[in-house]
Amino acid sequence: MLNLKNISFSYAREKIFNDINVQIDTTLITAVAGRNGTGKTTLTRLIMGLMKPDAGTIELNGKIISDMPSYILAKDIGYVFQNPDHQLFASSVHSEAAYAPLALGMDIKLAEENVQQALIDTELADKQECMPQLLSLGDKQRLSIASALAAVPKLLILDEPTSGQDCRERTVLLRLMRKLNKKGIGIILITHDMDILAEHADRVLVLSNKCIAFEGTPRELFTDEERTAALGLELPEAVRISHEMKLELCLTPAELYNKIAVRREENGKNN
Amino acid sequence: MAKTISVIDFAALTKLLMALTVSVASLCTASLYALGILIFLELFCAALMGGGKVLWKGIGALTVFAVVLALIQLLFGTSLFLAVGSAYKMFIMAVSLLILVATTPTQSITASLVKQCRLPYDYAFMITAVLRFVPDLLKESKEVRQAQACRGFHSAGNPVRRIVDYMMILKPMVFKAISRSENMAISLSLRRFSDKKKRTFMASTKLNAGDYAAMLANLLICIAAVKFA
Repeated sequence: MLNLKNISFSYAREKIFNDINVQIDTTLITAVAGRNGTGKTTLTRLIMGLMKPDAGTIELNGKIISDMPSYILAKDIGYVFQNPDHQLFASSVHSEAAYAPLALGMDIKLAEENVQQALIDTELADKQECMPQLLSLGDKQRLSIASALAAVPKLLILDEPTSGQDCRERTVLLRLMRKLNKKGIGIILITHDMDILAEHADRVLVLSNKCIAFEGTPRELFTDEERTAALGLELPEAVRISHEMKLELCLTPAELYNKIAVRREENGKNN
Repeated sequence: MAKTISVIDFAALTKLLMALTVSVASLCTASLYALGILIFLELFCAALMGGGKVLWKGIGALTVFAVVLALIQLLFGTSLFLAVGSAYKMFIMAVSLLILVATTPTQSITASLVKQCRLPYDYAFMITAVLRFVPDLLKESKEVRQAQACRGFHSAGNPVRRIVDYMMILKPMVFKAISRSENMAISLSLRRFSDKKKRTFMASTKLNAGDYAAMLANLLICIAAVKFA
């Protein structure tokens, strides 16, 4: 469990968070959403120790981490920046992925095993000798994830990982996210994409007005259309169509397809 | 952007010439009194022209750097007079440039370099582009450092080890700078950069009485400081 207790934070004299209290289950995929400037990235940076809260504490599995530097926290939490170019420096994909476990003092054999596993998980095993800077954006983003995974974190924070990616790369990344979660890695996902949020998140936190304005499941969030609009969020396509067709709430295209098929069947029987 | 309050606003050319004369004057004298007068002149100008928190923060950092520079020279056996003198000179030249950058829009500097100093536009643009990207680079270096810290990067130990460690920060920045300069070149070409020799500028370069007075006063103080101090 990741526990944020009474967190307040100001930046350049502007209050960003005012007494936030939230518990995040680190076995689930938790999406963080909200309008631009509501502090989504700031919240995750506070968790990662890149910024220090003005008041309050952050605990990970009962251990206070809010006063720990990020290079120590890297053992437990992997953080993937929105822009992968911020961290790529090595001359090969392999050495890039190997940086974190070696920097954390992991045994070389174990580090190599972890690097290989991370590269297999992220579908980069056949590009080990490639130069990171020459990869596509999607590959770079997955390399950043591999680099974090090689340190075997308990929790992975992804800051808008799908931004700027094409459909195929997006699908690969989301599939990877699900796979990692099934392996027991908790995921905090910052996203503006409501379709991804509806389809992949187990829990949702919505930030608004310096606090957490909503906490619950995607289904609970999108049930109330007015609240969703008030929070500055768009409805996912499947939810919008299911509303328009006066169907039961559907979060994913697959769910929508099934509901439409059932209705057609029912209409067929009635006729 | 920090809010700036300026008592008086000089043209870019005035500030450029003032920076140049003060820097040349500091190089022409070894007298600590003269250098002291020049420092006082610069700080007075900084207060007069505004520049806000950024400028004063920069001046604070340069003061610390000047002290460190003097101490290092003293450690290596340089006389106190020379050590303090060279720290003063470094401070004067850096602050004059800082005042110019912090209190003048880059478009005004470009316009002034081209229209009044007759510098080819390509070169003037190069100078102002460099000035324009310094804050961006600083911000970027912070982000890169944070991204690496998330992977366990922590620079500690002896200075050689630290320098090697900093390659992790420098490399992504160099790659990004190259990619950014490529994008910028393409974007400029698409907007007909250097297509015509004659171009117009939105920034005004007109000098008023205050500018002439400031240039004259600055010149006289510099000459007096060098000649008589």
